[in-house]
Amino acid sequence: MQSFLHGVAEYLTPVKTSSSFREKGVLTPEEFVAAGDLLVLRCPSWSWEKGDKSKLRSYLPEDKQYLITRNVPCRQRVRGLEYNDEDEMEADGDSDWLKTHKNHESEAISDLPEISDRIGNLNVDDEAPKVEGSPCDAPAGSDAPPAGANSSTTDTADVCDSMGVVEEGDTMTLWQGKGYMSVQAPDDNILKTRTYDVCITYDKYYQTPRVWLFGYDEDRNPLTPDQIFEDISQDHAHKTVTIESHPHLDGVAYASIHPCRHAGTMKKIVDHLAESGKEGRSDQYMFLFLKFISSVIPTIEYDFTFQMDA
Amino acid sequence: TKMQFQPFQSYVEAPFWQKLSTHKLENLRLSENNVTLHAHYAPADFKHGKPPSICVDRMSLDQEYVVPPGQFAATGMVRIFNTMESFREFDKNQFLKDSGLELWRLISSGEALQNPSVLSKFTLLTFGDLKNFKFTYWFSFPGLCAPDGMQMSAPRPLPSSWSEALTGQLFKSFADVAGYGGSPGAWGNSGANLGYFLIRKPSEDCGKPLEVLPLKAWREVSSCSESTADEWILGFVDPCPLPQAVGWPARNLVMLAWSALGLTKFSVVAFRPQGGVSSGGCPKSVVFDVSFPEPYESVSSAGFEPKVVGWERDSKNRLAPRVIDLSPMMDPNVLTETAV
Repeated sequence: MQSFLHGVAEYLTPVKTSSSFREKGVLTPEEFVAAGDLLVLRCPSWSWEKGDKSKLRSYLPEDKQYLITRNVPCRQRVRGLEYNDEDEMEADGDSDWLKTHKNHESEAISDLPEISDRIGNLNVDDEAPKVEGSPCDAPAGSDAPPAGANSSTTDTADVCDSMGVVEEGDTMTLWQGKGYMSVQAPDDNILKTRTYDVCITYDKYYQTPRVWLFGYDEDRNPLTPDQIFEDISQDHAHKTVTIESHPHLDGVAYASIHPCRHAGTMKKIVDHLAESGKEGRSDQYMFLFLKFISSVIPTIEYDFTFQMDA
Repeated sequence: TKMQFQPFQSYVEAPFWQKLSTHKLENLRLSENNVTLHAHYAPADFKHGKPPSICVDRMSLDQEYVVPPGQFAATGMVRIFNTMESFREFDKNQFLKDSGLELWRLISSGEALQNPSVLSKFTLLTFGDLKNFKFTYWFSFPGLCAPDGMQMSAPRPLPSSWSEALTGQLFKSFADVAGYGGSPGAWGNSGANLGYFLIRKPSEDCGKPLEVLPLKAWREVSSCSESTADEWILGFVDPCPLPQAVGWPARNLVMLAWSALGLTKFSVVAFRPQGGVSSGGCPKSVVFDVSFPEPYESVSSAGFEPKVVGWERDSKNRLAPRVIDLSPMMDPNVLTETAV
């Protein structure tokens, strides 16, 4: 974290900032859009969304209602994190608003084996199991007969019903299961992992960004609220995180990190920067904000890498 | 080592199912006809090793779908069944074959040169139990199998085959046409046609820069290419992060080169941009060589039809549909219980 702040601080050049941003840690809608634009530019995994027309917010551009990054891996549960001094950022004074862990940053592929070691005993059946005689178990090279058309149900994940589909073996297809895999050692590091869609909306009341989460398990089923709470640090689960209707989407509920303390926290971060002689810029708000949010959801590996221009 | 294609997998954003339900109830009603579906995929993710994913999102049914910046277009269709029985009994083997042969028609006729996103074709068959927010679904990514005797070399890292300057020029040329860095690109900002392209690689000593051109430019450039020593190479944005394989898009591109472009020996670059903006590069790109035993003309008259593969496996790698139960996040009754 120290190096992150340093990196940010180095990048910052003193230009004009909104007084309310530095004094209160809040953003105007215009500043929210500018900060979002910079995030999208620097981190291409984020993009702007329009949202449903019925929920259009007039104070934001029609095509920039909120930000989203999809299919974000989450390899381990919060309780699986090993807390130790080395991992924790030095909190400033009495505040405990940043309890950040190095492995969230996941800067390099070389982190993967280590994570996979740790997560090893959490995984069940990483390798695709071979079910002898199952008509569905027909990857490359098998002449499986079609499944009976009268199979009873597909509602249970354990019952495999190929619905008559037959596919001849094809040696050109690389079947490696469906999990994430380590680029370095694809054969033995197949990780099954949860994924999240992460949204950032503008909360008009608190005048800050607000984070929304929708999670999926290894089989692409939505996580239940209780499962989502497993990916939220214990300091925040059930206190600052609630399940609510997404402000820009009809009919789907997301987990939301309540923004009541965002402004205060952002103010502290800006003060922290100021102490080291740097001025926070409101268009870089989102990078600082996402770094702070990573203390709430430390294992959801969304991208907020602060890239320097060449 | 044998060259292989890493298949796509589906990634459906949950709100899509809600849109699909509305569309079925309000517009399609009892129709089980195919409906166009738009989707996108990302370039190889080296940070997380994500498998190549076709992402269907809540805008996918929208006719004016816009590919998110930095993403690449895939064009597909969805067929929504009225009952589980009609889903089950639908002849899916014939369906995949028909989908593949329709794609083959677009490829071999050259129509795909105008809209290369059809090469990243996908289909979605689904039945939704709308009352209980439960959907059974099965994706396919039709891939055309080359005739026996087609050979591909193992992929080589691009930096080991090309000079650093050329690799840099490739990234820069692509970034220019794609509009990386915020300014509109030469081919527009949508990513709709950026997934597949031509690379004009100048001969070593001529001093001209490398160029990235749309596939549809092939006809005019190939007619005058004899006069120069330039090399023409096919390129595609590769969603596969593995060093020893390339992504599914290469599969249909190779067939396009053989049939529509009339090539029997050619090279293909699996372009793997990193960074995504002005500061990026493509050092993990790979290049491979392809050779077909005979020109397409000599088999087309005999009615050559490629074999089609591409059913998505379920999470246990089996040939079976998937089921998604959205009730925890959609059913108002459940939501009331968990709301704080």
